[in-house]
Amino acid sequence: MEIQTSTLTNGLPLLLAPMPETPRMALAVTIDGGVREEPVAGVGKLASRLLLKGTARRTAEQIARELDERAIDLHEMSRADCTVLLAVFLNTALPAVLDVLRDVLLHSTFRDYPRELEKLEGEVRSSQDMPAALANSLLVSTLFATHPYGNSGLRFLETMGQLSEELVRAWYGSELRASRMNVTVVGDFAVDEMRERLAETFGDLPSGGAPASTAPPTPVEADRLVTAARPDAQQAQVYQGWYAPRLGAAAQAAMTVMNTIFGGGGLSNRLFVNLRDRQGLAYSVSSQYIPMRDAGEVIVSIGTSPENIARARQGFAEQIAIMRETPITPDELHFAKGRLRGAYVLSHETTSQHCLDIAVNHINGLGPDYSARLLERLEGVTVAEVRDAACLLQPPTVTAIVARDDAVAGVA
Amino acid sequence: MVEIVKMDAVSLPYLHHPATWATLESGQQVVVVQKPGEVVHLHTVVYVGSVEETVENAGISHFLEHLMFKGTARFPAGTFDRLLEGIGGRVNASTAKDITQYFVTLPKGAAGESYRLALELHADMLTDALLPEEEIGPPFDPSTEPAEKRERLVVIEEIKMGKDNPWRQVIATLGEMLYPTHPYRREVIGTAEVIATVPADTIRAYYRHWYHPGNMVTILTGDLPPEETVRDVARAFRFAPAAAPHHPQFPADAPPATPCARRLTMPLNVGYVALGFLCPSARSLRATIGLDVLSLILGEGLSSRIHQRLVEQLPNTPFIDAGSTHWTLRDSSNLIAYGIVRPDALQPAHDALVEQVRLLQHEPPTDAEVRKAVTCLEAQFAVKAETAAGLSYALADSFTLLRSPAGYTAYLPILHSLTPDELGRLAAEYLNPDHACAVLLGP
Repeated sequence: MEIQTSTLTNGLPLLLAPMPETPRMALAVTIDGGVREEPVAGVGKLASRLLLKGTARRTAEQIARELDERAIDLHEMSRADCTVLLAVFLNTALPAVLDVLRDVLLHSTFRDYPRELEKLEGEVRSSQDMPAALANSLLVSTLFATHPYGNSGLRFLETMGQLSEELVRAWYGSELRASRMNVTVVGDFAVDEMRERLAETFGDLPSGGAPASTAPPTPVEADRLVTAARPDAQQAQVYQGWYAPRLGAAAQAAMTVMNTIFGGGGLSNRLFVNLRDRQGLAYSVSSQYIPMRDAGEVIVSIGTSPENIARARQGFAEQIAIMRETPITPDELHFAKGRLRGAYVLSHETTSQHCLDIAVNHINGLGPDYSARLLERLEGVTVAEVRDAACLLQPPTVTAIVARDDAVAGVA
Repeated sequence: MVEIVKMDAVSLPYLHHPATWATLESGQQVVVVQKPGEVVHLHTVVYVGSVEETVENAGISHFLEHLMFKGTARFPAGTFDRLLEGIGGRVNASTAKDITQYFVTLPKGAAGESYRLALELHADMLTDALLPEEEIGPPFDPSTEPAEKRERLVVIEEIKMGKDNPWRQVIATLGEMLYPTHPYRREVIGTAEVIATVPADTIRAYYRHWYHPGNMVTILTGDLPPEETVRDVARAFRFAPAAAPHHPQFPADAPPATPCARRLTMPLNVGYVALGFLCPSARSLRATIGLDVLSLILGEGLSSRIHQRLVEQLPNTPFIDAGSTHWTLRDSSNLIAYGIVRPDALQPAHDALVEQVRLLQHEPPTDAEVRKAVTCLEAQFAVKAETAAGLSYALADSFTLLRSPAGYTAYLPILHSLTPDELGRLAAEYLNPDHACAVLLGP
């Protein structure tokens, strides 16, 4: 896919990738920053939600109706390192999409702040009713105790008293700078015509501004165990986490391959085969590698009966030790690379998948074609590099457990 | 060699080429959807789900779905997943009330070699599953700790996971209330007692009975030549001779004569309120599409009535979120209006939800609301056409409900012919709160 890049006079980068004969177009407005630059947990999420809650000339209901009447999917996403407004729509709806986006970016009133805060609080409390979400929340807020990457649902609930409408407005004002944004479009369009329309729509977004400097996370110094009791829980949720290579790091490719073999989704990884298929310990068991701009994390998780907590933790430790101490086979390496090649194709089937990938890679300073380049690097990963990556899963280990009271008491 | 006894072309929205719908001599149906691109999706729907079960074997369809991945005479357990995931495939399966379905999505491969391997493995799994004792694990008393933890325990863990999910509890309870006699009342996942004790031979007999060629449709979507692909399927699926299964018929339940409600408790931060309405069989296509429109107007999207009036505009609202969904089922569908609410306001939230549904009769859908719903539902066809998997799922839904692609192909003409008056009549007939079931869950 060819990506045509250009920059408007206000410094706004445009990334245009034609994809002929597609009925729906995807357009992303991506703003550098995200959770990473939040002074208080939830500021970024509130700011992006409030963008769709009323402007000087449209109420929130009018915005919702205009979008729904034209079948326009407009999502706001507050991510670790950026904020994205992603619109996906039938090609004929482009003028309406541009009109709404310009209005919400330049003329949002943020006047529904109290109600939006109340709703967000309710949604977070509701998500923490799910034991797995609560365990994940406990884990990341401990792993990133001094960094905004730890701005989990729990941290939001603890610090929401520090939030204010002024803080949200100020955050948005500092983030909305053309040179710290991009506009990306993927779909069936003529490049020159699209560039002209985008210049008319976004040419007067404010320029200037510089990225906020954030310090890398301060690592925890010793193993940590954090727990929460859920009185009637049928299962215990056991989560463990470690620091891992950050986005763009040399070791990102090797860690990606390591995670694929170890527990990264699917039915044939080692955690799934050993802890689920062979030992019947769980229905859900997996690992995830999440590389972000300041740091990365690897999280392993399992939902299992409370009496299996010790066996599950032992199972994690054994599988990690095997990854560290015994080289993977050439077959495993071959299959992992095949799997990642396939995952790339399957995750680049639609205009919205392409659009989000290009937009986020560009805003992270990696270049819009970073995913394709990472795929090439994955091909060169060796058995020794996978072992080196596995060696990063070593103490200090953060463990989060959510279970019924007696089980929590047992592990504490 | 299996013969093709019938082959028809079927036009689908947003696609340049018609799909091919074939019937093989074995009775197996095959649909090939030509979609340009690297991705191929293989999808087989077997017409057996929890509806075919009894209290004594509740959950066996879903347990069997797990066990289908445990090897064949040619490919031992684990080979299927490892080989397909190693060439970039995404492999999975699911069980529902009416069906069990198996799917593989993967890049086709430079000369189609990955697709051919996937078809061989997919067909082999469906026609020659061994269901080996050592993978199932020995039966055990569910009140004790079994010595050997195999797939029975995996499914029991899945049952426990569901019990920790408040929504699953709400939906399961509504199912019991909406369907007092019909087998839809039982949860698809079944009970730990059955999963712990059902003998391996019973599972094998269930497999041999229901996984008959006349009881399945295989859908393939991707850059595939239609007739050649139908023949590929005919060659790959080699069935042992067996009698076609008979599907028992279950009379539809009537909606409750008066409103009914159940109060559940869990130690939660928020509350959940749901109103369930019994709807006609999804085979009544016109009424089903009409109820899709009503659900969209009532509670789907940020501009829907429930969201705007209850979440955004109601003073001192107890609602954190609210919406509706129309669940289509072969014998008798249902529509659920729901809210996530403050835990101290379950009853007022229930009353507000009832009032909004009742208003559908006194304040029938406006022309503008109907236009919006039609546009949104029409756009869903563009969304489905974006991915090979999306198209296959949509056709699989149609075969599940109607045993044909008509649920997909006839949808848009019917959608465009619906009138506000007709929708008002459907709302009065099926969405009357005086005949609704309610579940209130909170601390």
